[in-house]
Amino acid sequence: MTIFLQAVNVLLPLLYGLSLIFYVSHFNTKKPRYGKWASSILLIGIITDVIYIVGKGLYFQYFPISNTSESFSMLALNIAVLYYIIERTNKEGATGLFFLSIIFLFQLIASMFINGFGTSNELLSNPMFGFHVTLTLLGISALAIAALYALMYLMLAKEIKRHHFGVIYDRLPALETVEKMGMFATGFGIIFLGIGVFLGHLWAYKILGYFFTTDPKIVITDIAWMIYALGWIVSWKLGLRGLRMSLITFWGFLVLFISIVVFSMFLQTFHRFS
Amino acid sequence: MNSEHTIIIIGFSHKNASVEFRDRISVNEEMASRFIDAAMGADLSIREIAVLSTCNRTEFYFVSPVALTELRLWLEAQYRSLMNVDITDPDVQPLMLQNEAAVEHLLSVAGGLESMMLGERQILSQVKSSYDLILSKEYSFPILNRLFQSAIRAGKAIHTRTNLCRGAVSVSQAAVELARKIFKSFQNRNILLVGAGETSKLVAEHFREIGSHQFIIANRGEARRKQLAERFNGRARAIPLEEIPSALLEADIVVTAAKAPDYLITYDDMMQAMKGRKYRVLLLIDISTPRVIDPRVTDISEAFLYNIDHLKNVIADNLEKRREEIPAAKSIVAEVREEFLVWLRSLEVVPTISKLTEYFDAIRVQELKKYAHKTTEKEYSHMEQLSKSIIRKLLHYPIISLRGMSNGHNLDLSKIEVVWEFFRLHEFKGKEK
Repeated sequence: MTIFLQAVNVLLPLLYGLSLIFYVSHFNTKKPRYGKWASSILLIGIITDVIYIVGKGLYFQYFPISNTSESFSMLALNIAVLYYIIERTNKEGATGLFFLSIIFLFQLIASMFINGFGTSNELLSNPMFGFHVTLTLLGISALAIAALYALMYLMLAKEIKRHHFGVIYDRLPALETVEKMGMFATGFGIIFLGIGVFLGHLWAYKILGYFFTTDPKIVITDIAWMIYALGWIVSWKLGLRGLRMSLITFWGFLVLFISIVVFSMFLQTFHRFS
Repeated sequence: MNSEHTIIIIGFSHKNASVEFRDRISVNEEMASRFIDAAMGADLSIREIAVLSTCNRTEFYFVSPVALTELRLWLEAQYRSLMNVDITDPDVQPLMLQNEAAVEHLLSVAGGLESMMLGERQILSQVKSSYDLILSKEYSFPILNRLFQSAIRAGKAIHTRTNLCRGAVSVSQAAVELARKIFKSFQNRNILLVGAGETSKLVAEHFREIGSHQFIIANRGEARRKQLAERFNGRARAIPLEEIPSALLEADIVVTAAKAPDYLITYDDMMQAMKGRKYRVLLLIDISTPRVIDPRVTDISEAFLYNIDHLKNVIADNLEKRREEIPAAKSIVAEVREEFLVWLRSLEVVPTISKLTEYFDAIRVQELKKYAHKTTEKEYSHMEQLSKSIIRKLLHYPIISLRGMSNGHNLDLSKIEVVWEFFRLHEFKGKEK
């Protein structure tokens, strides 16, 4: 089993790298066949990645995010899955280059710095904890994707506004498509992160005996998620679209990211990710 | 090349004839069919004929051993008798090409390389129509059939493998191209057209082609705005100019092509409208001269304002990009041309080899006959074997060379013609079949 996992560990960055090459070709030439190849290889990569992570988890009986390498690997898979769904739903592969670059980089780091399999951390053997982490990571990844789409929207809108027809104008899909893809990712992000946070509270209730804690990290995460979700939903309901919505999505993510990740790094509390 | 298979083109286009002349000689499908019938019934040896007629070119493709000048005279006579048109004009010299040049020309035409607007796409469907016409006739046109197939293939390859046909090259197309960069679908988009003249009609047609149905037409004259609205089967609404501010609330795209002393869409109108539209993106294209949309509108973040100069820049950029694609398109033409010529050569080389062998054998038999009564049967048999062997050896290298020509890529088809002339193969009747 270990040999198989080691082989797949090498194969994964190769598959994502190959998919990236085709996405770059598709971006440069706009030839649909490159897009099809890129998408197909990405799907093979995702299936291989899922087999790898599930296989590893089942064989060693733990949730495989026990170290930095595994966290990067999980993030790469999350972004890959989300991007693939967004691409297939919108039938638009021109933005794949940006996401596959991140996926490839994360998986390369994960594969290069892997340090054996398995963990002694009992927490990671619990399935509920696994779901909490997976959904939280999926949620943050989706919101990051949404922020990237919002950034693309702002850049493309700026080129159109200034009558400047550069690479961004020429290669990116229509503003409406970029907006739709971003909305899709935001929707995913709010739901997944919401469920992830909720499962975290359930987990806290199970081990600490109370649902809400005063741990500043948890409080900050809860508030940040609520502000993001409420702000976005209210803006949507008010009919805001386009530029203003992209600005809200982009800055909203930055605030959320700083709140959750940066505070997590500096505040020493019970909640640790690794 | 065997002159039986000579491909000839006589054509008129924007490159050698005025628009008046081109209009005069343009033929519709029915007339093209009559030209084909006339050619097939003519005393002249016209083996095959096809007619390609568009607004910018009328070209006749022949497969015939007849000299170019004779074909030209025949064509002039046909125009006189079928259309009562005189195409003899000292200022107009038709394009007359043969064989490789003619093949290359048709492939280039199909790919849009010869079009007035470089990379024009419509020409390919017109080449297809010409091909369909020859297929619909009861005659057999094997060479032109293959040639038009090759042309269609070359055209498609140029469309898909190069960017020669990409990017708008007219103002109305550029307007649509801009809109496509903002909106994905046009089915539920409201398009406000200010002005009901020819430009508005053209823009509306382009938007309709990409799926737009909902038009609002604002014009000062009631009759004209209603007339234009009627073209859209009840899906268009005609409004007076005073209602433009309220129409701005629902419009996604505004195209103005009108004459007015003042701005028809002011900055204040737009500010007001933007609040009402909750700052939804709005594309405004002002192709009027002088402009009828206040240029300050561009200061509003969600309003993308373009004027005629911006569109002209888009067109110039696109034309430049198309020009950069010419070498790639030409290499596709060269590739398909070579494939076609290899096929054509095989058509030429095989009969040439067989005719040449037959010719040499006939001489051999004829010469042997002179000794039939002067030799014994055994001696005659030896002489027959010897003569066959000599002929075989004599023809060995010429036949190898000829076969090589059909597979090679650098054959001048006229070399085959030299073989025919050298041995007077045209005059040689061969065996009775």
